[in-house]
Amino acid sequence: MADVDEDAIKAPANASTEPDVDLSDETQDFRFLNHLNFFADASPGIPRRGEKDFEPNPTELQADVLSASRGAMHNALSYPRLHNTKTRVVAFYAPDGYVPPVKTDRATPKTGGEDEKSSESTPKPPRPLPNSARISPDACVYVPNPKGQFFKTMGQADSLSRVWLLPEEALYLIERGNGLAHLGPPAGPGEEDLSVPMSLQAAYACFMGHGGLTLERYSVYTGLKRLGYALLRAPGWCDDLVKEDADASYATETTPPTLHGPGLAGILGSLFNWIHDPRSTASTATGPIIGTGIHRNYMDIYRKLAIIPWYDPITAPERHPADTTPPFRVVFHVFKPSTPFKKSAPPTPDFRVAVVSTRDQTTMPTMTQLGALLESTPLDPPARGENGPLRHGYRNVVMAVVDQGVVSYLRVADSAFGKEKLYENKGGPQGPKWNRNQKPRKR
Amino acid sequence: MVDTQETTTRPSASAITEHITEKGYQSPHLATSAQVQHNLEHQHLWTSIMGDIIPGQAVDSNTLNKDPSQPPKEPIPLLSGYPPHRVYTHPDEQLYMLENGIREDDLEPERMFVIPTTQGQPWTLRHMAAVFDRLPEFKQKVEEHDRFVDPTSMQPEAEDLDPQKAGKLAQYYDKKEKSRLTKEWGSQRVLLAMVDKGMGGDGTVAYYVVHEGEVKPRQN
Amino acid sequence: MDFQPDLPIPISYVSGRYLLFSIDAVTYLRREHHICGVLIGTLPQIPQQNVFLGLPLELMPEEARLLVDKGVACIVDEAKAHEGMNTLLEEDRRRYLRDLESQGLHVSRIQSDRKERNREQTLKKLEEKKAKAKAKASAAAATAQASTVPEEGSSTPLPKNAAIVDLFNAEGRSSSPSTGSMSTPPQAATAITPATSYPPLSTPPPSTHLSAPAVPSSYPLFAHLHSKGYFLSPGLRFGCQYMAYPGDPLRFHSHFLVVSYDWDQRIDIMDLVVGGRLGTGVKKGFLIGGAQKRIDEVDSEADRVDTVRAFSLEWAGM
Repeated sequence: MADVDEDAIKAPANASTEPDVDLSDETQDFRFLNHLNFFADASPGIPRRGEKDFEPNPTELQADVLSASRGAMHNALSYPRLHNTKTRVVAFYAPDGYVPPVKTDRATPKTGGEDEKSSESTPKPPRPLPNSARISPDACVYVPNPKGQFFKTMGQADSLSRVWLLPEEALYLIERGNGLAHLGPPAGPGEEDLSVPMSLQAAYACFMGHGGLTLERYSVYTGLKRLGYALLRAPGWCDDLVKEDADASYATETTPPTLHGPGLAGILGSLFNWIHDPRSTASTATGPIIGTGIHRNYMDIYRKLAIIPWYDPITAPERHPADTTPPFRVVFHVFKPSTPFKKSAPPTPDFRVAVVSTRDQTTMPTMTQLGALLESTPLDPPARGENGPLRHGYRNVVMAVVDQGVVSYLRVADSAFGKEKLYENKGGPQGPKWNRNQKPRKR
Repeated sequence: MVDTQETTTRPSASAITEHITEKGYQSPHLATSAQVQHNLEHQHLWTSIMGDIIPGQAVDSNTLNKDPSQPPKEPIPLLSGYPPHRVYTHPDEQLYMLENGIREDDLEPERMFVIPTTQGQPWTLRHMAAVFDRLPEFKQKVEEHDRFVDPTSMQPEAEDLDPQKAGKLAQYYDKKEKSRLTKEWGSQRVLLAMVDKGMGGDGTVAYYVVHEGEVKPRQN
Repeated sequence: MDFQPDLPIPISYVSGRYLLFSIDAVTYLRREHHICGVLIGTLPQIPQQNVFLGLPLELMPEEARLLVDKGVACIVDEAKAHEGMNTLLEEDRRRYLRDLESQGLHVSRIQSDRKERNREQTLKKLEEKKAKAKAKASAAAATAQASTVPEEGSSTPLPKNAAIVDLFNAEGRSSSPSTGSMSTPPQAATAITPATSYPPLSTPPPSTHLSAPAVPSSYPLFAHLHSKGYFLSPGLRFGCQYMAYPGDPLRFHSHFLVVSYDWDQRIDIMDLVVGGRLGTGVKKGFLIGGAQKRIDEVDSEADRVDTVRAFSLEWAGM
């Protein structure tokens, strides 16, 4: 069938790809990095996309260009991670994690302004150390003198004002050249400092696999951090998560969800409709579905035709993350750069991300797995009057699928088709007009 | 789709359905083949269509696995015919033609080979390999047939060509023959025809060129 | 001048994945063995983007396996190897710290030199501007001369960057560049996070190497295409297993979306249509294939590679 729409597939290939290219989709020509001045104070822009050839030919020009590209790549990747004396953030690796300081000497209260001003004035409780309580047992690097923008979204301070970093946070800082981590503790006064700084390789060797950090999770973490998002580990981070009964926030949601049928609201609704229109014959077994009464508008008819039960995401109870099956489980809470973020009281996440490795999980999630994943996220209904309520859905989750370092993000939303009744749209039935082959254009 | 007034009468069967029912094909593969043949003939205006069958292996599955070069259990039907226009030209061949001022119309028609398939039908690499292994034999068969039917059809029409063009064409055929061995202009190829017969299938046939081995894609 | 690393190249096995940290190894494997991997690290010079990424390089198990089978690389359990960090002799530590410091000093000097020169240039430019303004009407020749200066300015940063980069290209080759001026440190040394831990660690002995990586059933097709000169990369972006490039992906578009099947594994014909159509839409072929023999029918994976058959699909356009 060589008709119009098939030709159309080929034609726009040139036109449509241009404006909306994701540069990270393909290997980029590192020669374009040569044009950047790495030492400039202003942050350099991202170079433009280079032209590629279809296939190798024996010309010298092509060989030269390739060799120049490889040279540029070599140079770009050789660029060192440097730490100026002024901006240097020095960290120390503590493989055993945070150990609360031994509180033998009660007489010397740590008067560092480590957290919210409150506790200073009230002397009565034995210092519950609010911040250090938030230090994850997986934290394994501490920064004695935290300075700089990064600590606004990363790490948790202990009572000594040292900021404790999770392995992914520490690795990210080291990798981007902002943190200098030492293996082993700092030298004591008068000692010769023989603690060796960690190489990038050492950092990967020490942090990867520590506290549930996989390379795939880390790829997602850094990929989003580089774009300016803030990330926190979600409760589902641990694969062997168990439901705690004491966990108040999920206590009510233990009833198994009814995935079929219209839900209570739906049943009430149809009951109401039935009462509302007593002329109709309720039984469809004997007569026409829409009954024999007089129908004054299409809405009544469509409503009666809707005999197939549908799933209403609103009625589904929220489920505990432990009900989900890894890797189909939210492991990151992600916050947009524009979202005001406070470490001590994180806002509602903008995105919830599950991380899937293509080498460990080679099949699509089952409906049960996907359903549980969605129901472990809070209800996020489309705003009134939103353009695409179906696309937005009532619950949503982002799946980051990582294939050997290449990450693809898929947003999965729980669309409630049953709730979007086309016949209730203003303007009445618009069948023929709407079905014209030109699609409604998106902005 | 004529009689919609009386709800009791069924719409009359399509020509192809009638054809298949009439012939009473024994295996579903052959019915698929008939449907593809019908489509080639009437929609794509192919001519001189011929068929062949790769017989299936009537052996138990144990021996089947042992020898990977054996064809699969099921018989595979094949078709061949002349399309009105060239279906496929290898990018390098196209470049050669462009450089030498040869247009597609100057060339003699080329037989194409087709594997009729349908959605849901069992298919494996073994099937694919069996097709390509069988292809030379089938090709020989149809070429013999072509020579028998029209002995002159294999020669280019030399009468009303200017000598320069004729020379170019002769060179082209020479090169074509050589490239068959070097695979410069691609390797053996067939068309994979898939009939949409699934739920709500409308009998659409989709055609894909399948090459043996790695053959670089066309760029147009 | 292309650098030849010592073989076998150690591939770091970290938390179940295969990584490379040495830029020399990365460049060499790409150039000589057509192994590209995927860069997953942040580039410190432009850290806020995902278009250009840096070390480490993640290798597919298939890539690591191919290199190990060729004898080009070996697998090192990096967590275990780094336990050696704790047992480093004091002497070695001292030497390593000294090396780092001298490199850091070198960097500091280059940077301050550069700052100095930049300042001079700016001053010069300012002066010239003034001079130009003064002698606006008089000397046309002076303007011509002055105009060469900014050009010079714009081209000099590269060699200077190159100086720093060169220093690190040297990695393990020359231990400490220009240690002569150590005695008079002009300023504090810039601290450095080296890419690799070798040195101070010494190359792990062969007895500690891990066995060849386990590979998925698609390995024979991967190795077959690689042996034909294709560069392969992970294919998730195009919904396939591998992308096959006719040359270095730095310079060439891919030719094929690749999916491997076992010889008697059932193929849904619809998948062929889907793959063929997707490929054609992006001007690529859809390539399927696999080994005729199963692993239990042959002696080694390499024997299977020889039995691979592959088929390329394109939309016929009819």
